[in-house]
Amino acid sequence: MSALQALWQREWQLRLQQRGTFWLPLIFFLLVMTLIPLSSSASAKLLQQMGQGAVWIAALLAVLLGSDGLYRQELDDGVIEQWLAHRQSLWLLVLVKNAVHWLASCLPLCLLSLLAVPLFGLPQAVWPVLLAAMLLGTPILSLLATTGAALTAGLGNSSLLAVVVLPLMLPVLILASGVTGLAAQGLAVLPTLALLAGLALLAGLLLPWAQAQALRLYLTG
Amino acid sequence: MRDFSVPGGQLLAPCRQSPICLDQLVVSRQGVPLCQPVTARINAGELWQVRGRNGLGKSTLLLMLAGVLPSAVRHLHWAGQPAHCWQPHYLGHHPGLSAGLSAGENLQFLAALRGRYSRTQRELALQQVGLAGYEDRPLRQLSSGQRRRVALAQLWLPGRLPALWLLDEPLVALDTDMVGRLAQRMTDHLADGGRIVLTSHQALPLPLNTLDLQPDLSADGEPDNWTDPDEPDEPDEPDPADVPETGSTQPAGVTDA
Repeated sequence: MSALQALWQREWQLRLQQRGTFWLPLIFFLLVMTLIPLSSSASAKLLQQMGQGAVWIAALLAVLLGSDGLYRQELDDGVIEQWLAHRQSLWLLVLVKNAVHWLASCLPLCLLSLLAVPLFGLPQAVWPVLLAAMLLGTPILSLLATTGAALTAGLGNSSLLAVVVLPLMLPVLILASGVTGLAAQGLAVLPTLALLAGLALLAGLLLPWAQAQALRLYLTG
Repeated sequence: MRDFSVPGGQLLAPCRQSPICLDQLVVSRQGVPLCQPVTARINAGELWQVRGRNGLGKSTLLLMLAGVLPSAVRHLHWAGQPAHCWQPHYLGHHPGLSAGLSAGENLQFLAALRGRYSRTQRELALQQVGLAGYEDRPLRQLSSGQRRRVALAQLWLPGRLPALWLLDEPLVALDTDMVGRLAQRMTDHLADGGRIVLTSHQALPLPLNTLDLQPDLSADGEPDNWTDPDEPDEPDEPDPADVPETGSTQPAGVTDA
């Protein structure tokens, strides 16, 4: 078994061990999404407009909640030190961890987000657009959150993570919540989705590298 | 009588004969030197114990030898190669074990970093450190000594082994039986032409060279009163008074932090 395969397998083994951390962001996401329609006495029309943004705020908070400890335990256990001592690429480790993290925590979130259609009374036709926006937007949110996790891994306190990362998530929030609105009005959604896809590619290229540098700095600094 | 030997031991080294050279190596963390510069020659078949009181940079020196921390090639090289090109076996104070995984899963990951090993080979290695039947036990259910054994089990994996072992406090939490097994394994490795650098505050029942780290007394971190000894290492001299890199006769480890 190569080191890469072993890392991949180890990531999933760790996730299986920590099922609580798997469910927590999902339950949180569902709660926020159900509480907003229940707590507001807004008209159906207003609720519909709120819903487009509410899904994304819930997703953003859930992603932040689930990403905090991605590197801290590994650094404390000396896993990343071992990875470096065996001359493995730190960039690969970061890439694998991010990929597994997205598959395990954000993919279920994407599917759950479809519940927003009945909850907020969105038009039935928008669900493919909502799903596409989630599939393109959550990798960016996830990568930004894990970058924050890499930057704050050396600090015991994780509240800094939200402060560092939330402003950077704003463009994704604006684009992604707008696209469902466009779909509801029957306007073209492809340009916005393409923009999201471009952002996702950019984040996928730059942020794992940034995370590797942050971890290296923490270990050698 | 159990057999602790490892079959097919072929060592990975840039050059089997040439020494690992530490020339005025400044052990520093975040740019701050932790002790006086270190000079030593680590030859094949030698066991070195890095000594010094807490905070003098023993673990940092091991991390530099492991190539995890950067070092200049003119201060630290092995047959002309910088530290990050070697293939050492580094066992840190935190050896890369996850409490959530089982002993077998942990060893599987650590072994895979080095090469391809079958399940039987890994189980055999666990058996050698006295952990037969513990493969599926979660690490958090094991004692600290047993966890240490899981990390040490890597040394019993067969096949090509790194020639240089860097062991940071390998004896912590081990019982006398395991210390004996480890000493035997280390003796075999040294007999094969391997080299071992370790830190330990406990006595090791093996002949060893000592590398005493001395406090850096100069304010600027650039000690000029430092003198170079002509021949730093004397193989198989377990005498603690044999301080290789300084004129002082008082080993730093004697004074407490």
